[in-house]
Amino acid sequence: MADLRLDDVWLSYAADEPAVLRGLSIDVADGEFYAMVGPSGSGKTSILKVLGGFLAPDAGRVLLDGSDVSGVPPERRDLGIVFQSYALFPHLTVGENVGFGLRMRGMRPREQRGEVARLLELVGLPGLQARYPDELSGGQQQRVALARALVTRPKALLLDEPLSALDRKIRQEMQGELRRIQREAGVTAIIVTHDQEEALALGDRLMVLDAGEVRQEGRPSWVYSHPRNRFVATFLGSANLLSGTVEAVEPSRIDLGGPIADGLALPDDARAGDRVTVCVRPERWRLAAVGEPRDAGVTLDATVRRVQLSGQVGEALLDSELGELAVTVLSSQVAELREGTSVRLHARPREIHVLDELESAASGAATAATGPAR
Amino acid sequence: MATTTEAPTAHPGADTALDAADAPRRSVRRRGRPGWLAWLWLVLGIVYTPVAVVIVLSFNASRYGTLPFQPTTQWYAALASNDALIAATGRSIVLSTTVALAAALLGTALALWIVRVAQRGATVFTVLLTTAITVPWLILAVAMLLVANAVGLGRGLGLLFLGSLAVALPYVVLVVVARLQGLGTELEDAARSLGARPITAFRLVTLPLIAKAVLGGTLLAFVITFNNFPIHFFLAPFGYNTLPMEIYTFVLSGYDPDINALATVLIGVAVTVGLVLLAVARRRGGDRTAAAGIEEVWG
Repeated sequence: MADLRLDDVWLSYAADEPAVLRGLSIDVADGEFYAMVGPSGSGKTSILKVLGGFLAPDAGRVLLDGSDVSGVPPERRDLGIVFQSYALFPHLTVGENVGFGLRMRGMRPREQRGEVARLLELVGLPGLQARYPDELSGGQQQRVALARALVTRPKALLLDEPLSALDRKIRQEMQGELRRIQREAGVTAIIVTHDQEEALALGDRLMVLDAGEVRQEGRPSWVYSHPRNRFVATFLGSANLLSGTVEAVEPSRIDLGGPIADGLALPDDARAGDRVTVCVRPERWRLAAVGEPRDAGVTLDATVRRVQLSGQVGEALLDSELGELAVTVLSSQVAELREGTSVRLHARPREIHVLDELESAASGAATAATGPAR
Repeated sequence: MATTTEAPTAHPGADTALDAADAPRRSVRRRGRPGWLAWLWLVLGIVYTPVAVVIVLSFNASRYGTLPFQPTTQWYAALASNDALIAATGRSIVLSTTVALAAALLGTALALWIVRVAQRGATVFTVLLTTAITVPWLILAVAMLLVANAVGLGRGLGLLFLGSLAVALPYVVLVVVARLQGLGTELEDAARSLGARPITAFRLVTLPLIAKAVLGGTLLAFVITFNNFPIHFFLAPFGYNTLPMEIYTFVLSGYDPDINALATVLIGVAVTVGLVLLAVARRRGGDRTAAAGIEEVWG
């Protein structure tokens, strides 16, 4: 167990190519489950390769337990890695796969047996030692890969898109399992994924990565409800982004181009006249009756264009004076919303978030918020 | 529920109905099969008929392959006393084995270098090697002799070995390169993350997994070298006749059925070796080991 740090890490694969990691700094605490999420090509896997010792950064430091491990080869970093393809050794049995790390530490097969059994028990696959990887289902292979990575009691566990190869139902089950196993093993874990649901569900802390830079970091629920910028707002879930101009700061009043949003918390540096973006998550809208008096927050009149039921909830697309709006409604409400139905939408101030990035009235330049958020 | 309780009484022929439900699937699978089978037998016939004829003639008393068939083993006795043929067979086996082993070692090393080190240049090497395979052996052999004479090397065992190796090597390299590329480096990375040093990771993970391909390539190199008459003919030192050369000489001077006997013995050895290795490969778990390479070649 250990804490893990990247300090201003730069990495490019070739001199003539743009850097894939651009001054990246992360700080993962002991025992924490840290989720990194970003679109493909954002540098997620490169981060794991740098942490694992398979790639040397061009600049910056990698710290494990406070000591610089730059230059330490992968075999001496003492990290457990679960690869995207699981990378189970196809010519070895499950028992031999799980025991591989112990064997590398000079343990004889007979001594390994107890530990291998304990780990297979932990991942919920007792007694499968004699099987070969190709005789297991995807979910089982995933568990074996976890057991193999944990058997040496590594300082930290690195997970590279561990669930992407599984189908939806097993994936959800494995999310819970991953959390349980990580807690029981008490190991620091870093997961990289492109799946925002996975990142939101698994991480104690979440980091949104884009183009090799940290876009936002924080508790998953906080990052979800308080995205700093458009990228985070749209990458994590879906968002209705409404542009407006600040009319007053205290109490706040934003002109959305006709409709007014009032009572919202503004970014600290917002001044009257600044252009801001207001973010309302689809599930934060409340359907109100037409003609119901407007309240603090945002009230909009809209017409239903399309409703689609997807399980417990329905996704509705509405046309409003501010354009297209996505609204999530309960399945019980879907029947009431026909195409063409007029509704009044309302979102209370605490359901609405104003993005940090704003266009200052003075300079006219967009100032995107960067750097880690607390 | 209703259908399951009613079915046996309402439909006395439920069993035949089930069979009928199965039948269409079977017939779909069988449709067109006779045609394919006939085609397969034709192809096999083209390959095996001459082989069968040689085997039959090796047991026939007639010197000129005429019928009626009169069983005899006299040609085997003649073969046993034909020192020239036996010596040539020995030379061919020694040459092919040496070349195959050298090709296996060098070819695997070269394949590793191409895939792991050259990486971006890998395509260039692969294309060059594929092109090398397409050059006719006769032309290659003549050209090699020309160059050897020009540099004052001349015919010799060394030249024969080098020429044979040059022809066989690309096959090993291409087979192993394909396997290595399919394998990727993730397994080795996984081994290293578990504490294996690079050489250990290679020995315990990569080597067992490419063993099939290496073995397949080695067998290919052996067979190619054994059969490579043009290379032998132009590069072997005078008086050093390999088996194909010896057979050629015999055929020129008049064909004796003891060559049929030799062919039968060689076929017998090849089939036996093939079957033994196949049996080993088929054993449970065996398909995960080196022996399974045979299945790729024979199976």
